Amino acid sequence: MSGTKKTASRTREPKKTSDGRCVLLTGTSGFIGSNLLKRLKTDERYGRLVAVDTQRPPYRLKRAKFYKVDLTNPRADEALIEIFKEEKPETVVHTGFYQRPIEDTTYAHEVNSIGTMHILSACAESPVRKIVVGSRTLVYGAQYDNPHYMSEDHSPRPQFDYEFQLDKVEVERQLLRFWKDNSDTLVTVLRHCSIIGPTVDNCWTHYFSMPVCPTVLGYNPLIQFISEEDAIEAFKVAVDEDFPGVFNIVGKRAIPLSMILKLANKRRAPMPSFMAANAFRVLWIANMGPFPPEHINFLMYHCLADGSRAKEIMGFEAKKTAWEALEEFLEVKRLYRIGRPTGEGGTSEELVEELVSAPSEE
Amino acid sequence: MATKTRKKKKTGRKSAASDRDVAAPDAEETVARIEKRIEERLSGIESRVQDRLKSLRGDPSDDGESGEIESDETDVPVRDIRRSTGSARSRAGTVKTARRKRGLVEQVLSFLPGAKPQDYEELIETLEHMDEFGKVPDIENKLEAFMMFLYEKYWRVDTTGIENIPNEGRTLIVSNHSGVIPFDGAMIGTAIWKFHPARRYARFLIEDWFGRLPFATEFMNAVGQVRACQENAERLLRQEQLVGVFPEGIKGMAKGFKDRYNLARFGRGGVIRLAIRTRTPVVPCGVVGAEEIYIVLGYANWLGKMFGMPLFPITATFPWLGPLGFIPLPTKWYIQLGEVISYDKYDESALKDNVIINRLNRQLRARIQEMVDSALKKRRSLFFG
Repeated sequence: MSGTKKTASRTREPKKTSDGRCVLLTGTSGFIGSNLLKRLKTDERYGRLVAVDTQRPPYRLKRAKFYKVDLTNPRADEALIEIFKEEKPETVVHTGFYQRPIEDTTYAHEVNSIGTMHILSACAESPVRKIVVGSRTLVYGAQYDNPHYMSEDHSPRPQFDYEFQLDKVEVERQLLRFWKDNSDTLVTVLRHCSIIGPTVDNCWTHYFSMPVCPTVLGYNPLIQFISEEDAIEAFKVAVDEDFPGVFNIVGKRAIPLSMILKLANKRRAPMPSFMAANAFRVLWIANMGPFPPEHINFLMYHCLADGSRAKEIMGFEAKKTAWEALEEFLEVKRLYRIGRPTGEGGTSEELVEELVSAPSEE
Repeated sequence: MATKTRKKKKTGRKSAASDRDVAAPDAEETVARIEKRIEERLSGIESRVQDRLKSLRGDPSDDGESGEIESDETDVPVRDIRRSTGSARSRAGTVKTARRKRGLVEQVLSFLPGAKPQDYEELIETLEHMDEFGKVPDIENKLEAFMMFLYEKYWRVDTTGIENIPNEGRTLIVSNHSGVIPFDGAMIGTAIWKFHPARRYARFLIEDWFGRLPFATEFMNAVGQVRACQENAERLLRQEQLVGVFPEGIKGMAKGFKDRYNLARFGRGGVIRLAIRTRTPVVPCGVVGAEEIYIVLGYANWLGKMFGMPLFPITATFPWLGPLGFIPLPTKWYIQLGEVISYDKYDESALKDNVIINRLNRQLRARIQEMVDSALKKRRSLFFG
C-alpha cells in the first residue's frame, strides 16, 4: 500500500472539534483497546466513549458504554449498524484483532478479516469521520533482502504460509479499498512494532519468559520494541488529530537479539534453522510455543521500520529506547523471580497480592 | 498469570471502594504507596538473600568476584540487588562447597549457553554506542591488528591518492571488484582508516546473498557493512558517512582468468543515480592484485546453491583443503584512488534520462579501467610488485 495516495490531505489543518467527541473502540479487552480507552477517559475532549467487544473490559466504565458484539457472527454488521445509528461515533478505533497468532488460524482469520469487513460496512453506512486501525510492522516481512529500515512506501511482503501476517495484510488491503470507495472518511493505519512492557502479553513476552530461548545458529537480527506508554500515546495522537495515511510507529532504537538474551540472562539454545523451526513447531503444537514456526524468519532476518514519517507528520516520537522498554519488562520478571519459594518469602502470587491489598483506585 | 490475577482482584475490590473515576493525583499516590511497599519488601528479601549466600558460601571473604553483595554493606541500593540477584543465584550454585538443590529443568539445561552473570551497565553502554545498522562500537580498533597484518605484511598494499578523499561529508568510493571474497573492500577500508588524516571508517555495501549465510551477515553488520540497496546507501550518505560501492557485484567476483582486470558492466547506473540524488562526490578507485589471490579453476555454482552461496569456486586449494582453502595467496596489491568526480551539475531531471546516466556510468567505468591498466603496466611480478 503506497503512502502517496493517502497523503493527499496532509496539508489540511487538524480539525478542532467541539467538545464531546464520540469515539468507538473495538477490541477493548485487548491491550491497545483497553489502555486507549483508559487514556481517552481522562481526556475532557471525549464526551462519549463506546466499547465494542465480546467481553467487558476488565475495569469499571464510566462515560463509556459497552456493547457486546461477536464480530465473527454473520449478523454482526447489522448489530454494528444499529450501534452506529444509536451512538453516532465520529471516530472509530479498530483494534479488535488477535495481536498474537493463535492455533486456530481459521477463527483468527474470521475475527481479523471478516470482523474488519463488518466494521467497515458499518462505517460506510453511517457518517464516521475517521477510522484509526492498528497494524504491525511485521507485514513488511523479514527477508534477507530487506533494506535495513523500511519506510511506509515499502510494500508489505507477507510469507505465503504465515496466516497471522497474511491477515494483517488483508486488513490493510480492505482499508485501502474502503478508502477508495469512501474518500471522505479519513483512514489512519498505524503499523506499530512489537510492544513490550510490564503488562502486555504477546509473542515476545512469551518467548522471553520461556526457561530456554531457542535461537537460530548464526543469525542475530536487530529487533525493534516500543514501550507500552509510547504505543498508547501514538494511538492517542492519531485519535486526537487527523493524520490520514500509513505510519510506522516504532521505538527509538533497535537491539540485537543476542543482547536481549544477555540482558534477560536467559539460556539460549542455538540450533540450525531447520532444527529451530521444528523445535518451534513442536512447542506450538503442544500449545507451549510463543509463536508458530513460520515466525522464525523474524529470529533470522531484520524487519525494521523507519519511524521518521510519524515523527515529521504526526509529531510522534517514542520516548523510550528498545532496551529501556525491555528493561521495564525484565524488572517485573525479576521481581517475580525474587519472590520465588526459597523457603521464606512466599510465592510471587502472594507477594503481588499483598502489594495490591492496599485500597486502590482504578 | 500474575498480571491477570492482579487485574481481577482490583476490580473485585473496586466495588467496595468509591465510585469515582481515575483522577491523576490519586493514582500517583497509590503508585507511590505501592512502590514504597515494594522497596520495603525487597529490602527484606535482600537481607534474606544475603544471609542465604553467606550460609552457602561458608567463608564470606574468600569469593572476591561478587563485589555487589558485600557482607558488611547494609545499604545496598535496591536497584543493584534486583539486577544482580539473578547472577548471584547462579554464581552461588557453582561454588563447589555448596550444592544447592536446583530444579531438574535447570540441571538438564545447564549445558546450554547463556544465563551467565552479566555486567549490565557495560551492555547498555555498548547498546548506546551501537550504530543503527548494528555496527559494534569501536570495532575499528579491534580489527586493526589483523587488518594491518594483512595490509602491511601479507599483501604489502601500496596505496596512492588517499588525499583525494575529502576529510568530511558524504563520499562515495567506487571500485572494481575481484577475488572471490571481498578482501578488497577490507583493504580499502584499512588504508583509509590508517592513513587518511581524518581517519574515516568506510562502510561498504555488500551483496544480497550475504544476508542468507548464517554467520557472515552478523559479522558483516558488526563490522559496519550493510546490504546494497538504494535505501541503505541513502541512509548512510545522509549521515555524512563514507560509503564504498562495487558496482560490478558478483559479476566482478566471478570473472574467469582471461577476463581479469576487465571491468564488467557497472550495473544499471544505480551508483550514478545515487550520487546525483544525494549530491555526493565520487572517488574512483582501482585495486590491482586482488584478482589473483585465488587460482580459480572453474565454478560449480550448482553445488553452491545447496549452501546458499551463488558462487562456488573451485580453486587449487578449495574445496580440497576445506576451510584452509580460503587462505589467499600473498600477491602484491596496489590501490589507486583517483580524483574526485562531482555530479553536481546534474539535477533531478537527469535522473529520468537514461542516456545521460549510461554515459556517466561508462565514463566512470572507463576511468577506473584506466587506473587499473596503468597500475598493471607498472607491475612486474605478481608477488613482489
